[in-house]
Amino acid sequence: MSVPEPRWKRRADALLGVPASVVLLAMMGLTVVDVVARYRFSRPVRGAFEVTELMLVVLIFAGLPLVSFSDEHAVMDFVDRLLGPRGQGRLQRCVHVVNAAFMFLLTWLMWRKADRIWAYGDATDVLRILYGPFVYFMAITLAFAGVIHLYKVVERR
Amino acid sequence: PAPAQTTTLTMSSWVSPQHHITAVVLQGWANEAEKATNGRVKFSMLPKHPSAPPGTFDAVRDGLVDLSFVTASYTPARHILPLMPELPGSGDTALANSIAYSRIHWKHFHKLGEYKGVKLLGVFTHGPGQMFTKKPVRSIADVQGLKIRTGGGVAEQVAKALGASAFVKPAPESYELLSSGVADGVFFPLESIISFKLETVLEQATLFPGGMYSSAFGFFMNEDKWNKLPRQDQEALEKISGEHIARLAGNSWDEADRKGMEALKKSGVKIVNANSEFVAEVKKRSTPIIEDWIQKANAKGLDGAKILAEFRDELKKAAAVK
Amino acid sequence: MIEGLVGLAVMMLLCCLRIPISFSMALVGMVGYAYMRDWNWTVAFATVQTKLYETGRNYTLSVVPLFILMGNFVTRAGMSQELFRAAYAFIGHLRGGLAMATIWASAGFGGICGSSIATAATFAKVAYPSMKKFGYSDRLAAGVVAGGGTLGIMIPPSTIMVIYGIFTETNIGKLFAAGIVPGIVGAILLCGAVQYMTWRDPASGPRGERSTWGERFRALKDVWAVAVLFLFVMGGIYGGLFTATEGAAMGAFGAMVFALWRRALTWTTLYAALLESARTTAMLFMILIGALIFAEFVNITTMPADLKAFVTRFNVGPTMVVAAICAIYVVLGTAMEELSMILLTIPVFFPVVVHLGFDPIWFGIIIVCVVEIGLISPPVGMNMFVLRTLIPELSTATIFSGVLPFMWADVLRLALLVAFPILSLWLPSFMK
Ligand code: NA
Ligand code: NA
Repeated sequence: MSVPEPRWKRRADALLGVPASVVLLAMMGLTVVDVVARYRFSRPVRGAFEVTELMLVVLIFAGLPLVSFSDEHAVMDFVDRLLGPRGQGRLQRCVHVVNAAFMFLLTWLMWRKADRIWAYGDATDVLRILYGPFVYFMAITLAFAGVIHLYKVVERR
Repeated sequence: PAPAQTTTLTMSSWVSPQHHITAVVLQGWANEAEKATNGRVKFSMLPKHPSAPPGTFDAVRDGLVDLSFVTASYTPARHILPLMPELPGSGDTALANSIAYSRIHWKHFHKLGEYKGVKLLGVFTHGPGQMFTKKPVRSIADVQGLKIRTGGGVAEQVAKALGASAFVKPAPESYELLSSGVADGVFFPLESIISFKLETVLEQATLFPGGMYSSAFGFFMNEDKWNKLPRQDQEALEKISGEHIARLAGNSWDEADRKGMEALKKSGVKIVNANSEFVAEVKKRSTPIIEDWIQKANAKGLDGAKILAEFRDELKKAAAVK
Repeated sequence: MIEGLVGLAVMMLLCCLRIPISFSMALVGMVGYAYMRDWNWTVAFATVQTKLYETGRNYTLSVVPLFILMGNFVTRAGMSQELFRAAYAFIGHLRGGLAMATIWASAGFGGICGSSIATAATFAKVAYPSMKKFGYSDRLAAGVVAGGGTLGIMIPPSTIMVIYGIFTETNIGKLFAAGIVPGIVGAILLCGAVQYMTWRDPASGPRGERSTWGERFRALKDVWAVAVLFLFVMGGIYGGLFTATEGAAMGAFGAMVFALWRRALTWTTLYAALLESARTTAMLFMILIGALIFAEFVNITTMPADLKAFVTRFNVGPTMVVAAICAIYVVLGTAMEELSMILLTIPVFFPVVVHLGFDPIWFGIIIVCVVEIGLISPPVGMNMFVLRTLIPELSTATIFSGVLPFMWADVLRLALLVAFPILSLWLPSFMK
């Protein structure tokens, strides 16, 4: 763990890590501004409610590939004791194949959902922000997570 | 006679099982439908709604559930025309508003396909949405800067046009918003005041003729399931659809509003009819919202102004006949 | 009923093959749904799409990442360490003292953070290393961090209470007040579990050093920052400045201000805190989405109706019905993710309970208590997973055996809360 990670890994991490962090900070800031503006000046931030929801979506789905990348998905490890180190390695690769396949299935499903949402022009109620791009974003980060799981299949350990 | 083939359709509601829409409207219609088809079509209520409320249209379209209902303004990009009966100054009762809207919908709106993808059975609205506050409100001046919670859509636009500081939060948070003082008031139909137990935290109900807003609902069925029904069952269901549903739901909303009014009176909330000056001011300020709808209806290829006038005529007729 | 149980079994099997719990639940939920609808994959896929699309778009759930962020800020500002030190100064010299200090520090931390996962994660970093240094067994150290962490949702503010309050339209302010006494009772019972473990095996929890009264008061004085933050969040909610949902963001902001003021935040550590919170959030929501897909499958099996029938068969007395509901929750909670369990069962049980004349506030506390049990009841429990993620050298088996005494302590408290509603309803009775 203490070995410094290669530069490309850090860069890849920052690609979604920075946006996710900014969104989380903005989520907090938006509520604070909304509360203060409503209480002090009777001027709540218009659409704060729906923007918070959209930020939560971005946060979760930007975070997904990061979780896959750092192997932080919650797992049960009973089987580890039964297998030797080599067996563990093989099992992990198999599991990552399943994970990748599932992520690509979800990518396909979300992309189709995005097409429909986009075709309807579905938008938030107050600010009329289009949902479509957010659903495409979800599909893309799911694909990204799939690619990461594929990488873990072939990664040298 | 040979035993007829029976179909069981799933139904679900995003409001609680005790809410009159679930218990009276949905369940009531299901009972009628079972009788009308001599028991060939049966219904089962899912214990949990399969989507978030705004996702109901897609849930029925995709077959997650066979029948449900939803507020049109949850999908504002898809359902623009149903905003008509939601505009300020519509029907004085849910029944009149629902009947008038239903007539206009089936005559003018339905062919434009805003409910394409599902089998629409009926449309209806709730009763007039009114203003409830924790402070006395006598004129438009008292509304300025008042922190008003609405559910969005026309209600939010009206509250904003009146000069209130309007914000959108989930309806079930209303009690907390009011009791803690985050909100000074809410826009709701009378019914919701009891269903969200708000009567203890409110001081005044200000009533406007026709209300500040309403909500338009559609009640619909999965199209594949509909197409698979035998012809005679489709016909039997058609007979209890359309305006029949508007009447069923409209009556039920009015009954719920009556109970809401009683509860308000019992808990000592002051009920004030807005004076003519106040009403005129609200009317003036909400004109742009109505103009906006006319524009949007025109963009869909309708004559918005003419249809709105026709709707108002129907309202008068519906109110006169009962 | 049988389909639901088979589904649970298959899901457990996939989990044991090391497929992430979130994906296992989603996969089984999807396939199970298709099976229930006569292999109609279109509908099964639509269900998956709906849950993926909707789960994040939920305003109420925005409290989850913000409470996690708040926990991170509070720890970086050194406040959790101060809580732990203060508790240690008073009881560290007792047998299992560090473990009991962890419990009371978790309880104090629960007063500023609404999330059990964040509480467990915090003390995995703050208390676990100290306990290891003093020679505590892995089992006790892991068990007490996971167990103490559950106090995060009983002592207000609380994510689960916000969600329960909004779903059942119950007054959140009163729910918060109702949680205080059961939270303290819980902390006492958890300390009992520590005593039991160290009585069985004194070497697992050796005594620490005794502090002088001077040291104790100095340590206690350091806790003022936590008290200020608690008063800020609770005062803001009860004073009408912000809602309980907004309280999470306000609390996180307050914690950030403290961290900045104590010069504990640089750009690097700010980024680290945000990134870590984002990752934890994504991990949790993936489990939630998977669990909700699974719950949709359960929803169309006969399980909900069977459970309701089972419960209402106990028409000998309302208390028996509640006891049956609690038993179901404890059993379901072992294998289901807690939030989705609540979302699935509240529509089934809440009307029954209210119809029998029970107080919704009291039932809310019961729900929080069963969720706490679920969080630390093997095999599926979020607090245990968080620990497993944060302390990689701990094996799942060690964690599972370590939490059991604490789980039983919580079961005992559940019985107390059911038997004595006054424990929950006394404090809110002072509220208008
Ligand atoms: Na808490
Ligand atoms: Na569990």
